[in-house]
Amino acid sequence: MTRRNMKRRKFFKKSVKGTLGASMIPLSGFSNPAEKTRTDYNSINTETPFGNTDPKQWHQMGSGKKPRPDRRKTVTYDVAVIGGGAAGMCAAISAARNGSKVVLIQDRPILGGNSSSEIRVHLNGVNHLRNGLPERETGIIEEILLHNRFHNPQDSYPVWDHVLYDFITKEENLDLKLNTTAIRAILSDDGTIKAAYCWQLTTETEFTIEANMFIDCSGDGLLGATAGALYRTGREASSEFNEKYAPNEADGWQMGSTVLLGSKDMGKPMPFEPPHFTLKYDAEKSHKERQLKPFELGFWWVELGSDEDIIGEFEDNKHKLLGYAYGVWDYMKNSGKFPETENYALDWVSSLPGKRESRRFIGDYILSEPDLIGNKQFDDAVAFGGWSLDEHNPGGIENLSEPPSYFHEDFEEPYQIPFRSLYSKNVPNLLFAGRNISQTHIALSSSRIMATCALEGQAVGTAAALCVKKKILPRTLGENHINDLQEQLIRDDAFIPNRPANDNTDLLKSAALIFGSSTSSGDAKLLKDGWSRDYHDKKHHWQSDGLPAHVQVEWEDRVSISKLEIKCDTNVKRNLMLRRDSLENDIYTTKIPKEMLQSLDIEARINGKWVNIKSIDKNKTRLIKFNFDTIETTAIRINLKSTYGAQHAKLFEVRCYS
Amino acid sequence: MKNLLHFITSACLCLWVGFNSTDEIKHSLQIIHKGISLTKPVICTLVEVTNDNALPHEFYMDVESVVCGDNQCKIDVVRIYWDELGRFNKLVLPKDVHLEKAEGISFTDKDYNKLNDILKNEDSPLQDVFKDEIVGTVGGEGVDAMSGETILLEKSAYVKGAVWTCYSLWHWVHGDIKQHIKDITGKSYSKQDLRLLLKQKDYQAFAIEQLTKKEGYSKQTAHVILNAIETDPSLLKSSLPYWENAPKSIYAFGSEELLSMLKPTNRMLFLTSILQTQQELSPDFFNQLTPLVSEFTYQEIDIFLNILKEKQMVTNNIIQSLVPLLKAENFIISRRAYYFLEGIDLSKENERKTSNFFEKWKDRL
Repeated sequence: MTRRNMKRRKFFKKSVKGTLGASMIPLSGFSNPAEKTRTDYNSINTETPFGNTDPKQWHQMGSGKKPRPDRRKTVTYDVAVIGGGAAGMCAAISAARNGSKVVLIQDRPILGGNSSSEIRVHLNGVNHLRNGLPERETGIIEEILLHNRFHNPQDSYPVWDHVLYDFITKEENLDLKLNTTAIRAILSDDGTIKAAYCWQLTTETEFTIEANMFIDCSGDGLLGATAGALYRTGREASSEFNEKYAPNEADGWQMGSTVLLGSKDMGKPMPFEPPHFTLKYDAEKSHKERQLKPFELGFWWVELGSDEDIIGEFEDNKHKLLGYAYGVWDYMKNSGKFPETENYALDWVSSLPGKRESRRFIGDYILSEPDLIGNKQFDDAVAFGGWSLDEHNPGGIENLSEPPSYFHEDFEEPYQIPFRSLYSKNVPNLLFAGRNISQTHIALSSSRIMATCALEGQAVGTAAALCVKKKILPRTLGENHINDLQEQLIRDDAFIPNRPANDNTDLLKSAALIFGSSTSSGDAKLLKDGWSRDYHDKKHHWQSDGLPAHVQVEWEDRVSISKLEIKCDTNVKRNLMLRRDSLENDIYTTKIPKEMLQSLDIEARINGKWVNIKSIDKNKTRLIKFNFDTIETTAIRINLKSTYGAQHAKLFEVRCYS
Repeated sequence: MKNLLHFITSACLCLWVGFNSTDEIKHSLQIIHKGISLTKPVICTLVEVTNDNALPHEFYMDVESVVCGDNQCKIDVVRIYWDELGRFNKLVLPKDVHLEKAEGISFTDKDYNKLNDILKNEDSPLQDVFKDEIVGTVGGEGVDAMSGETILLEKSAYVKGAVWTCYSLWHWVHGDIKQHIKDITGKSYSKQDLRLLLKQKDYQAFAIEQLTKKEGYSKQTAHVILNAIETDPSLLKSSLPYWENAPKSIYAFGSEELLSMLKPTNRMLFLTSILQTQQELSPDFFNQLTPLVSEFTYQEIDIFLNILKEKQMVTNNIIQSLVPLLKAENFIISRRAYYFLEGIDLSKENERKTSNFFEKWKDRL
């Protein structure tokens, strides 16, 4: 016991009744006059065992003579985002960056959703198409993953939590409320959500959060559900959407949640005594695709879903899942069939199963299997996916004889996700992103992957900000202003397959000439073709021949510029998410992409002389933004000095704005 | 050490025999094979076969037929032959060895022919493929697992059922080994030998590269290189290191000759080299270069003016060639010339012309 605690205890013992002195009692209605004369406050104050705490509080709170502090607050924002996973974070950031005042409400102490240290699912996206190559997501989610590469080279999951915390809390216009649950929606007469009634666990505070736009990225979608937003659960019949992988008849099955575990080599034999709740794993009855090796990082197929109320059953299922997880580990350690586990011991077991499926809201469009397989082109496409149709088996680990997942089909190219699947059909100011979007069970089997959810998040965050600016609702935005939304997303480095940018406010479009000082691949003219990556085997880049190099833009007339934006290469054909196995190969890396620009500066020719405008010595993003006081110029020059290792510098886009 | 001993023994043997018969020299090399590791070299033995003149005639190396990605391959040791410049010659299988496709099916004659075509193709799609792209990856959200062979490539790039074999052999044939072979051959040739090779098609780029490494600088050599470039302008790029590292007199001579034979397609390359090199050029050179200005694109004019500024090479003659650009059809060219001219001392007449330009276009400057 510390000296300080001993002093506190001593104080309690001798004076717990004597803490109220007349001169110190501001709350007359709750004071006890009879005890006034018994307290010597000078002596108490000299002990100062309780820091700044007023000792009368102890009596008041203990005796109930002072009411519990009234911690009800009403706060108002433009946009409220519920859920701090990949989708919610990207929604909040994009709304804030596009000018809205935003609050991000997260019901856990940390951000990151299924990727957080509490769950540790890899933040997968389009990791590989049928050709084996990724078509990696860019935009905010890439910025987050790059942020991690700079701040967490050790691949630590607890540090990842704080990489995310750092990323979110440094954003202007964005308030974060952790440990806060949006319990129910408060509706206006017109059916819009007026406010979210929230409870912050750690501060015993009831928040009424008012906003113009609400974005439910919580996965389970409690806020939307309490607002009366229409939703589905379970599997559709194959006939409803012409889905060949759906069952003949609709049912209630929802893919399960998983408990992951981790182990480490202790360098000596380690015994394992299973806890009492362990459920025996029957390997003999298990399908061969329930792979037990590699064993170090657990088994994603330790999974339990539900035919009924998967949300209501969560705690019971979690108890069982822990039993199953320990059961598999017990089999590895004690069956005698895996001598390689002898020195291994568990050093982490998740207490929070990672969820795959529950509510799916209904929007103006329900995304389904034929859209994905047929790569349907949507006029209102705002995001993309490409993870395989990875439908986990009905029953999960309680259905051992079937493979843990049916990888029905890989995709040849990314599929589009339309904006109409990202807002509610019947609650006018409710948007959503993540696994709860408007889609079928089979579509979800692919699109639930976190980086895909993150793209949806950026789309709805941007949409919400535009709605606020234009004072319209999401449906109107989609019907009348979808071009504005798409252009903003692409400008912010989201990629929409087969939808190149065409931003008429980009002054580069009026340039007379753009050229590179040297070229080893591509063409400098391609920097204004609207594509921010090579796609369909077509080049959309310019690459220098060695470094240093520069790109120069010439206008025939003077232009006023205050913003210059560049998209450099980060190699979207290589995944860079945090992984538990720190995999380093040709399509996964734990490193900062060597292709990314490290240092550069920009110059403008003003009155015939080249003037340095801005420099960056340690660039950390693919989208490099320069903001400066407006200049009148006839030419700009982007001087590329170094990358993080590549011999040449590759750019995909340059834009200029007044 | 053992390999080194082999090398020394063989080399001594060659000398002792007196170059009168073919012999073999073993070279121990560290090679990066894309299918094995991108970072960890493989130690292997390259055998050089010399001719009667003790010069490299061909090379061979014994390699495993397949770097297997899915543990489902039959592995044989096969022998790859290259010519003295590292170009693939042939693949030889030991007696009773047959390459196999999936499920143990032997290669047919057609398959062998196709494999031969694949290995001869320096620009095969296999060159850009990493081993992880050969197999599809499937798995849950946790850790990916590997599955069997997946068809990722156009069909002409591999023999069906033997993608690993094609991939492995192609990267042995066209990997780092080619440069090693060229360097070994280059070391064996004298400068005179290399000069002779400059006259032989297909040997020219090799000869220029090796002469640069051997610092083979002479007016005679420069002449032969220039002749080669005149015949094949694409050789300019590979010759630039030769010129940039040459003695001053050779550089001056070479630059003027290159200028006289310069093709429009090579102008940017040539001008960029001039801008970047520390070598000095004479005013005469620039006097010869300046008349080309009227043909230059904006980008070429820009770099040319940067050269003049960087090398402090502004003569009256050059100025006279630049002033007409003030009336160029392309406004950004005339503006670029104006920006250059306004910063230097000009005759009154030329000052008047630049002032007129300013008055006319001041809103666009």
